[in-house]
Amino acid sequence: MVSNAAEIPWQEPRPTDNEIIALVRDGDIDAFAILVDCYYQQVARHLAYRCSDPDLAADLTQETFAEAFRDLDRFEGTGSFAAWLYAVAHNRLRMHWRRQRIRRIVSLDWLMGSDAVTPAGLQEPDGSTQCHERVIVSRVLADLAPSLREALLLHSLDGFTAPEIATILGISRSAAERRVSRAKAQFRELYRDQHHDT
Amino acid sequence: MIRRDHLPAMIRPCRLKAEELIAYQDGTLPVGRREIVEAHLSACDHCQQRLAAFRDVDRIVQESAVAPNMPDQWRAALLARLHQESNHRSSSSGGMALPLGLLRFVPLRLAVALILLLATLPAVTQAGFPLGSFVNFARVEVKQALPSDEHHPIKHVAPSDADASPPSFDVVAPAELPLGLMRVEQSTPGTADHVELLYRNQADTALLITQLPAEIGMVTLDQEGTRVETVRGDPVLITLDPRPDAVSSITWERDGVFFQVLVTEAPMGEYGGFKRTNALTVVEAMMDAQDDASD
Repeated sequence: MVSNAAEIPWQEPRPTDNEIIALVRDGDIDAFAILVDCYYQQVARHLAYRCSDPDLAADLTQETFAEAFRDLDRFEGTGSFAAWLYAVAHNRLRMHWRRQRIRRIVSLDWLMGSDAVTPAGLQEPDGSTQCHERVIVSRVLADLAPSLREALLLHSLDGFTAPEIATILGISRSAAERRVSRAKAQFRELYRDQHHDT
Repeated sequence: MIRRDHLPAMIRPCRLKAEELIAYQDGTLPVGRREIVEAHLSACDHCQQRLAAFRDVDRIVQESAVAPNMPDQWRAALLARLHQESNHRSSSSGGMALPLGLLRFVPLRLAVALILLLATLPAVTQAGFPLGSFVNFARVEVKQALPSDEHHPIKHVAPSDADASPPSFDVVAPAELPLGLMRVEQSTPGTADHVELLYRNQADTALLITQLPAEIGMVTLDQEGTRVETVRGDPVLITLDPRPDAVSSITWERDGVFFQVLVTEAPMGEYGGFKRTNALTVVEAMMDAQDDASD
């Protein structure tokens, strides 16, 4: 039976990522569950933003963690584990796209919860502002070029710095800064247009 | 003549780059530069608004997001998988040690046979990168679809030729290449969705960059000595010339397009100094150009 290491109440403060990684490298596989619990939502959300299929996002998230576990010895500990994990997820997704040769249009329906918001829902007088906002943000993100959307999500949503984004995407730091700044400028413009239209 | 720094601050063009504002927001600017940017921000309403706009975007995106819940059994399935893989790995490594330890108890011929068998295992088990899944070379013989009456298997057609159909994809051309390589020709075969860029330098090193849709497939020089390296996170297939460090071809795929860098002519024995590191620089330059184009 698989034990549930993450349910063991850790005394504060929780071990650092590097301490957990050391435990895993020493053979404590269940310690890896702590990293899974810490990063599942971030990684799953990131993958869900980039592929429209929630089942696929869940599968890719699992593949990401499995690969991270297998390749943990390659994590040198010089950067953050989160950035390294995202790089694994990024490569997983790209490999998937290569195989499928499909560029899916980003859909945020799944991220809006089980009751997906439809455009018709916008016209209902009692529709909440929050849902309205999500639809607008969804449209704006869909209108961005994939490379800009990717950079924007990593920066604005996942909280990575441009140097970390550079590591994740395998691009130069200046290219990452350029993409993030362009993405934000375009997002703002498109967002303003969307609000103006609605 | 009005000097730039004599203009009032309100109408002086602001030279603070957006990228620098991102680095400031990230807290990754060097200390000296950070102080300069901070001083500028304290005096420049325009840049304060730009920075606030960037932070607004973060807030809007964050507020619109919902964190997905972990599906039932997802976590248990993952952990079971990790345990299984880990057990499999440890039993594999143990399997190697056991027969070797027992060799002293078996006849000499059998021991030799076992050693030979074990020696072949890494070649079998270290399959490495799944070449088929990445490259997916359809083994489509592009050359056969092209005119065969030319000395060169690919018929070169000038870009200005009215009969040449434009490629269906965006051609990627690096801004600059190592060793002083300059583009001397862009060719579009008349019968295939296919572009070639030819580069030369004064040392007669020549480089051919081929691009074609991934659906068509790509032909490599040979399958001997092929291996995969990673350049900026992308797998790159390299076929090596038997001579040390000489490169025959590098092939990779990005965004549905196959790219191949091929050394076509060079002084014998030296390849004009075109070593593996130079070739990977070309790959990086191509990826940069593609990133810039997609930006």
